[in-house]
Amino acid sequence: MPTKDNAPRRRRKGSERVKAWIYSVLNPLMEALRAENTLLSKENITWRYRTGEPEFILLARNLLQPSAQPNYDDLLRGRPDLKPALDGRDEKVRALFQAAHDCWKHLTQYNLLRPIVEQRLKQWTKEGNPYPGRAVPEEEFRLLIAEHLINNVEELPYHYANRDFWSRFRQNFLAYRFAPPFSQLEKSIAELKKSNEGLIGTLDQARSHLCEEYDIPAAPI
Amino acid sequence: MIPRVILDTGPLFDLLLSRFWGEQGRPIDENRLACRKQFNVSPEQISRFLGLCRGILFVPGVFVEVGRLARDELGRSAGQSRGMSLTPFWRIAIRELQQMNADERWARFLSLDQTLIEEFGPTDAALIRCAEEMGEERVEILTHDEALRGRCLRLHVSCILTSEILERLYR
Repeated sequence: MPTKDNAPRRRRKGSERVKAWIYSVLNPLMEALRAENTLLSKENITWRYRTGEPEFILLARNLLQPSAQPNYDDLLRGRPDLKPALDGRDEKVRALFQAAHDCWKHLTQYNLLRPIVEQRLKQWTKEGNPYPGRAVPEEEFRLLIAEHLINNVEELPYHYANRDFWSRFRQNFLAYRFAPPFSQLEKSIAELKKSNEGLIGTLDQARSHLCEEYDIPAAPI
Repeated sequence: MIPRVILDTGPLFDLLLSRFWGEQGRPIDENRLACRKQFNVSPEQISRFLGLCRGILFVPGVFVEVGRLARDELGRSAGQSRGMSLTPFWRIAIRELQQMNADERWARFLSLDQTLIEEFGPTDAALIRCAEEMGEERVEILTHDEALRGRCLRLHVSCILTSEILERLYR
């Protein structure tokens, strides 16, 4: 677009690079952190028994699409002032992973849950109900229950075959959350949530500065 | 308890997409779901209906169609038309299917009714074949597709539109 003195208007150097930071890193990251906090406020750490780790609580770089990760690395080179906040939050994620592993070990290593799950399952089937695990093999069912427990599941979706089983015996299983490793997990959840809130603020501020400085919108038009 | 149901792509995709967002803690924009836009039915109502069914039957073609819809929808929401990884979507979809009262029915493509394939494509032809094979059990197809429902009525195959689940839920 021509300017007042009729000279062609030139884009500020680096604006494409900054757009990549904002659209493929800062915006998705803030969205992912907000989603993570929604889960954390329910103490749902998205633990999966098959992988032995949380599915959606991830290090900051892994919260982004693989195609956007080079832009994340570039952002940290271009804005090294953001690194401490991101690293600090990732430290909290690692602490949560450790606490979650300890809880999982507590529940599974000593077969704490096995007798109660087997007992309830026996009671359930004796009453004429079908096996609630469906495609989940019977030997894995106690792990599925442990997964619900560690994720603090209140209610399962209506279409789940184990919904009624879980609703009926949930209180028996959730009582295991009173064990000491769970206090550490709760503490880690609270710390990560707080750290996420702080990081969202920091990233939001960084985005505002970049938008102002490079005269680009905060989201693609 | 409602008898078994054969699930078409539309209601299955809406359910899986809402679960995909929900499992990640992301807000669910129901206005992007066909069940809400076409029939004013929520994905939770689909879930409740399926929870009342004795079993849920699938034909493999619906998974191919779900994959296509997921690529379009998730690519659009991520602001990119290609290259969006569907790994997390399929991971959640498989887990959902494992926890449903789900069962799969296969039919050889070349054994399907040619007229039906020409008119509706292989997936709908397989859905109709699946319903016909259930015989006396009169298993219904649950679909968003009004044309498919019309065809099923003419063929005396049981089929309900997604809007009709409300009647079953609240009668």
